[in-house]
Amino acid sequence: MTEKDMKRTALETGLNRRTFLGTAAGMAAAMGGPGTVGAQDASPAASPAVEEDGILKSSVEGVPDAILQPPEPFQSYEGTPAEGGTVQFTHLIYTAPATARDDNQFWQEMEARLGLDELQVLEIPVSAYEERVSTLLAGGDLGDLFYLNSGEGGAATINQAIDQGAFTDLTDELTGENLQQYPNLATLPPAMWEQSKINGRIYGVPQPIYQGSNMTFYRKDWADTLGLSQPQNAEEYLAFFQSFRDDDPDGNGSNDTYAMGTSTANFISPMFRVPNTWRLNDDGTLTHMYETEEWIMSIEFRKQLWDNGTLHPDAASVTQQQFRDLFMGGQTGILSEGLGTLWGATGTKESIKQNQPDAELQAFLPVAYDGGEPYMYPLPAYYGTVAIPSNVGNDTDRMRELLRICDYMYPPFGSEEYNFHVYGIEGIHHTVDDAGARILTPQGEADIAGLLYGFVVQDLYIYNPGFPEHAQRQQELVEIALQYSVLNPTVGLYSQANSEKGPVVTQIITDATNDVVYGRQPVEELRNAVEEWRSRGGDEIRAEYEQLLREQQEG
Amino acid sequence: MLFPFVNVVATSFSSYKDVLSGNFILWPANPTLDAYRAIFNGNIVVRALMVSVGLTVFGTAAQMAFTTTMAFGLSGQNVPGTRAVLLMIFGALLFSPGLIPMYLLVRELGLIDNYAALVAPGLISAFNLIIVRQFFLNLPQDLTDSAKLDGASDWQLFWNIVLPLSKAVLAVVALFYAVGIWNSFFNAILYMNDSSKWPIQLVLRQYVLQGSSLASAVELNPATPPPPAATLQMAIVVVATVPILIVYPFLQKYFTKGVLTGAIKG
Repeated sequence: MTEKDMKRTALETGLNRRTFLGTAAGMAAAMGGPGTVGAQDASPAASPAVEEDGILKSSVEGVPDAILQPPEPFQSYEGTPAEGGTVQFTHLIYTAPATARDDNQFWQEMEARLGLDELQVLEIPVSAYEERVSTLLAGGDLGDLFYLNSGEGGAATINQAIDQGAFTDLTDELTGENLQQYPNLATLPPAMWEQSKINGRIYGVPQPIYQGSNMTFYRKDWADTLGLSQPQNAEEYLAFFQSFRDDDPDGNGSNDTYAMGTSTANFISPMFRVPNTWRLNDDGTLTHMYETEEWIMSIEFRKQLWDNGTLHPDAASVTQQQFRDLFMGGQTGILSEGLGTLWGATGTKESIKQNQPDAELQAFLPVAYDGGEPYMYPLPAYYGTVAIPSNVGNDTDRMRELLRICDYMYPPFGSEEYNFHVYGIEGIHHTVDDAGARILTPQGEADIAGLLYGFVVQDLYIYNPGFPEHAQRQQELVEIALQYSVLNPTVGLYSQANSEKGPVVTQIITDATNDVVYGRQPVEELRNAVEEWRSRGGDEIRAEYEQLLREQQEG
Repeated sequence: MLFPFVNVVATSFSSYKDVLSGNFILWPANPTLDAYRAIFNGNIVVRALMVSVGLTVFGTAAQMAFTTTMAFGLSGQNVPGTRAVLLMIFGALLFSPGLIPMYLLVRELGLIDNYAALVAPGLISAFNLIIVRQFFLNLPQDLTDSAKLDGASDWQLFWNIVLPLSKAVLAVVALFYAVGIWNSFFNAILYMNDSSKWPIQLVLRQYVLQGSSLASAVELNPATPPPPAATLQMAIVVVATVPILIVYPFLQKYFTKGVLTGAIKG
């Protein structure tokens, strides 16, 4: 998982207050009501997952299927979605572009399967997404299918474009009975459709994203050496970290290990029940997480980690990559990362063994600082949508043809179409090993690359070829994470003030936090910073969101 | 002073173990070509290199042709309209259009997805034009007068007399232009829809920004895990800088002489 992970919190999605309350109620029901104590007693789900033909289906809604054994390839689509013609697909790429069309067999084969004469792909480098969206909108050359993602920049431009009707409203076509015309799209989880709505309307087909929360992992082999078990409250966490630092867990006789490479980790805020950015109070007002006592407590915890010497000396300035390298090199014992990067043959769990042959990784199960009920911050159910520009979508037949193409892009797991979409042509782009796992060849990597980004169908499933126990464990962790989910009530709402002033006022808090954690300023400085945050924009942002929430409730 | 550069090259040949040891690498203990292999996988980087080289060579030639002829025209005595044109050039130096007007202009000219879009908008740099013109003005008057008396046409004057005398400033300006085209990536983002026409800087920038693995939505081959980010980035720096480094020593003596060209009169 890549930069996508880091940008997830900036998403604007279609979750309105009613849906939020509905989902929260649903989760409470799944949890067994308030009063459940800590993760120690929580089972992954009310009932265990059911296995069917090598696919483990969870009983909790929103948890993807875990694939233990890929089925025999089967044909899932009759004919082709289009009958000739050209489609231009405009999207983002995070890495180098795919091989040029003339040399790219994957591309040509995809055209044939779609029934198109030509599939043009316009690739926008992720760093220039905002500029490119502006210029393309100005010039009117959006193409036929356009990947929209305000999380990558350009939120204001995109919102304005939608208000002005630049993209076709697909709500009628993609809900209820009409959605059944597109059988694959109909199987996408309802949460994806709900969350990706903009102003309550559907403007595009949502792209799936891996559903696990970000979690924190530790070296279980070190913990076993030191006789440590999972911490159940904040005190125990401090002791755990201290032990990693002081008690020489790697047994090499020198005091060279640290607990963690940075002062922040994604288990800390949820442990203190800090709200997920905003908390919606009963009277309809919003409280920001910075304004809560819980947040101050979480900063004090981080300060203590630093004061105790349990963090690596470079903690103040490490990048995400360096943080990871310290862990992989055996200098630290705890890593905070997206859940998805851990698994499979190239995941962290296995690749760390190259340098640290005895390493075994385990996730910290969510606990609260006082042993009570923890929070978890869920990730959105989608990342970006593929929209149809209105100059194209006004022609209903053309719109339907494009939606049929989108439908083709989400074949079920293990179908012949799925295997092509993800792995390309057998023998050229991938090979099949004895266990039935498909492995990409270098040509496959170059030809497929990010060509179909916007239709990442593999994120709908949990699959680790060669490591079925990983898939099962992943599913369990996702179930646990979803149990304690606390949603951000402002997700899906677009605030102009937040767009303009948000980064500036957040920086005030970030600077103050760093000063306090690393001992340059006393803890009281945080409260001053929050006052400043309020006066320089925080109050205005809050007022705007409250207004938007009120409008949504009425409208 | 060489140490950072040695470090860059050495890191590009290192393996994961070297990078993780956290030391400042001057010589890789476990050298490997993994990073280079990863970059050159598929045709993309090679193609982009060819695009960049082609653009630099032909683009610089075009830019030099237009700049020198215009500077020569503006440096003549008693040429009508010189003042007006100079004022327009100063205007171009001070103001630049925004992103969207530029894009719309290039689009209206039909240059989208055309290599000319990467060269034509910046064909004559006002700054370089002024430098060249200043140099031409400093050439001895007597020389040009006597050439005219002998019956030289403007073209002969330009080609046979003025240009050979201006080697220093031409080398400098050519270097400025060449490096400018070689390093450009943003105009390619804006105007090049077809990703096979991207120059090398844009392609490599994608690798650097991505930071770790090469593929975002692709299942990786477990037998060949991606090289560590640091080595990949260093290899990219090497690939992007080496061509210019090769050209530079040949032009260096002109460079040091030429920098002072416009500054000193007489």
